[in-house]
Amino acid sequence: MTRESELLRSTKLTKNFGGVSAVSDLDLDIQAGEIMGLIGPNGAGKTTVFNLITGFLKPTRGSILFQDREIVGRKPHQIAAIGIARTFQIAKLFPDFSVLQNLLAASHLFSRTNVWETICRTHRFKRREKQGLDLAMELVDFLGLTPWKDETARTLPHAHQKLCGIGVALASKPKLLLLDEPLEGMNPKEVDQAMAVIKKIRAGGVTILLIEHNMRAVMAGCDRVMVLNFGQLIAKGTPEEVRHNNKVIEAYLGKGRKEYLS
Amino acid sequence: MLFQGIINGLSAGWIYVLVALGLTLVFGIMRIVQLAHGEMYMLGAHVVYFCCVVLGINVILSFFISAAALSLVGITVERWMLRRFSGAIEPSVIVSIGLIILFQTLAVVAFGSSEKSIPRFIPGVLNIMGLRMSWDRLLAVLVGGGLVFFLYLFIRGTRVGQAMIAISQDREAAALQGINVNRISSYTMAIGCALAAVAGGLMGSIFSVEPFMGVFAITKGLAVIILGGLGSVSGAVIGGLILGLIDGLVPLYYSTTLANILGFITIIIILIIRPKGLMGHD
Amino acid sequence: MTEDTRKGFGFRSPGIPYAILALSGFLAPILIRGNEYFLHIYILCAINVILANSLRSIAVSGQMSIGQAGFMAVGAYTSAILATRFNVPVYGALVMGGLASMALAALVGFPLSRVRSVYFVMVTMFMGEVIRLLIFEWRGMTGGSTGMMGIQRPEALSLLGIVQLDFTNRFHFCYLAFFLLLFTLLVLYRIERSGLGIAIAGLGQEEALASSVGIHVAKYKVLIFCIGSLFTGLAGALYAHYMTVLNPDSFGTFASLYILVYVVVGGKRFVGPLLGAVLLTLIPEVSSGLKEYQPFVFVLVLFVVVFFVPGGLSDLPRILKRVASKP
Repeated sequence: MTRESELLRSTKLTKNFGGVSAVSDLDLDIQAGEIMGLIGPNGAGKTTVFNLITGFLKPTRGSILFQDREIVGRKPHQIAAIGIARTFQIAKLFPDFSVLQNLLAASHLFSRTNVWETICRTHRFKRREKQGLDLAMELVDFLGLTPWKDETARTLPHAHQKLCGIGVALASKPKLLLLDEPLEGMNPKEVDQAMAVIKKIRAGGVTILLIEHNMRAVMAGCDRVMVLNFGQLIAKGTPEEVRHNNKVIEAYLGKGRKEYLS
Repeated sequence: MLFQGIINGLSAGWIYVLVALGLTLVFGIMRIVQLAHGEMYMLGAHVVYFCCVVLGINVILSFFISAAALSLVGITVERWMLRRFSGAIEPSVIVSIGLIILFQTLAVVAFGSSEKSIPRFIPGVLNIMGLRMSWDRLLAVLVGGGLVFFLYLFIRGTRVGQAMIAISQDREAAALQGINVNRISSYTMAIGCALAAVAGGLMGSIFSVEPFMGVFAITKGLAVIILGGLGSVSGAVIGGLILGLIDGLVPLYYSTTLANILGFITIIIILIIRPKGLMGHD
Repeated sequence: MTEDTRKGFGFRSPGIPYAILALSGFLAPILIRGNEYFLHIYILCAINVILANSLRSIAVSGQMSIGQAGFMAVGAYTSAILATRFNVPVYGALVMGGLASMALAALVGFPLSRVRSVYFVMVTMFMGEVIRLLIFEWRGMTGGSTGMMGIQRPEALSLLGIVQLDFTNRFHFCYLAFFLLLFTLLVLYRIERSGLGIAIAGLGQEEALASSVGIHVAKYKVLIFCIGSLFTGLAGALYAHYMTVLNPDSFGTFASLYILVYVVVGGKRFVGPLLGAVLLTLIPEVSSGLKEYQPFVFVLVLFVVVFFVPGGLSDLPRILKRVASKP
């Protein structure tokens, strides 16, 4: 694990809410180009980790380095500009926008101009607008959502909403993509399609950190897996290593039950 | 003169508390966006005036009639006009605006826009050690105190009251526990509007009755419950007294307008820094 | 471009209905030239549309302000005071009025942007009241409750040496109002139909999501608040130099609420405020024969729209299309 390939590293990352420690002394690392799974029982602190990385929460202690730069203390829109994007556990989309409009809004970093240029409709404005539109259309195709591009987001079926949510996150052309339960609520066919899209994304050069409860998908699709319980890291390694780790089994099931993770 | 200012301020404060009581219940606890609450207060004053002065009915009975009438109005409004928008702020605000205009116009058409007055209950002024307070104001303070006390007991002690608290903390959880949110909303409006009617009647006897007096009620009422914290009866008391003190003391040295300005700026700062208010919970 | 992929009003291009509206606006004063009262209504309508569209643009970002009458007052009084007491030419005073309003918005914008929905509504209401009270209190400058009088109309203009405009003449003033309205709508429209506009509309729907894709929520909220308030102030200044008298009571919370009603009755689309403002400015005038019963008509229209056409008047074409396409 050379330093050039390390994308994200957190050191002693801690978040306390009053007396409760949601995340404590978390040391994690993510290598460029990998799909890293983040699993653990409900309430283990997984989404909190996402919120800490993306600036929605400020850590009580600890540091997070992204490409060797400290990102603790930055606001979410700055984190997006640096190259980290995320989806939300409850699929967040702009509900009154169409799929295309959602992606247009999301490609903001590439289409934004200042007020004057917008009002005066300068050449730069027109260029940037086209850039944003092209990016949005590309994403629609990439996700396979072209037939639904003008549908209002609120009316989309669940799986399409999740897919659109991933597209929204991709629109900022991130280097690191945090996916929060992307497969939730999907049937096996939809899961396979979604995992294929996720693999396509990784092939495009994006590193992925994935929270998921669907164990089969995690074990099959992830290069490495981290396991969280009560805010602490209890295991880290390849899916095989983690599956046989006693602490992990205990965390999910209490002592003595191995079958669940196979 | 400082002490007189404090006395004036505190008695004014208690009156603000009285005005804010119904609003605390309706908006503070049940989160029903009913900006026309001030008009309930105004209509309550007019009904008391009508019963008492025009029809010659006994004063206390007039108050009861007014409270009952306004309860009915409140229940109707909530059931047919506000309930469907519960949760959506924009339409609720617009409906409230419509109701404000509707009720004000009704009052102008039915009663005329001139100032009327409800006869004083106890004429004269109480004078202790050079500090003066009119008996009417004292009565309003006592009634106000009594109502606050009963409201407090009601919320703490009855099932309906506890249901209101449950709803204010988590509407869905309360519904899942079997609480009939719609029925509680109706009770809330009934009690809230009854309180407004009584407050309106009392204010009408101290000051005057006219169709636009509701604006004062809603503005001061909102200020009180924001200051004291949404959903808190004790907060409403503290908020009312603080605002009353400002209104009692500042005019001695500057002017009434400046007192209002200071009061509002305080509210603005609180809304920005700690929207929950002094004692509120969310 | 980021055009609404559903075309407006069923026309092939969204530009056509707007062109028709603009032309109607331009020709209307000519048609009603002889009637001073109609011309007066035209000017009031124009001012109300500016106010309503400004509020709508701000509201798109999720900031529903019921204090805009306060900003209107800032614009009105700043312009009036500069013109009457400091002999600033009216055109300069008008601009300063708009800028003063915008400056206030910039000052309070950042703290306000942190305030959540219901509380934001309340803060703006109290802010509007504070502004009105301050105007009331600062007798020396503003004339307090007696108000200001003798505010001059804009100085006469000569366009290309051919057209002489004398703004003491209502007919000519109509065109001043019209062009200010056109300018306002053009700027607001261009902002709305752009990456900036879609970012603002997005953050109005989901702030956290907008933030996560790189949209600087606070900055854009303040930006649109300032721009909206700029035009609100300009409308106020124009109002001052039209009415030639000012009174702080015209700028209370009620005025702000009326502007909100124009926007809600008119509907979400860009043309909504125009429909709402014109309709609700005309109704009180048309029904003034009813005297004290007149507000009932206003309230009736309000309730009919809120309960039966929740999307506002500008939503009617869509509803009619749906009704028409039913078998």
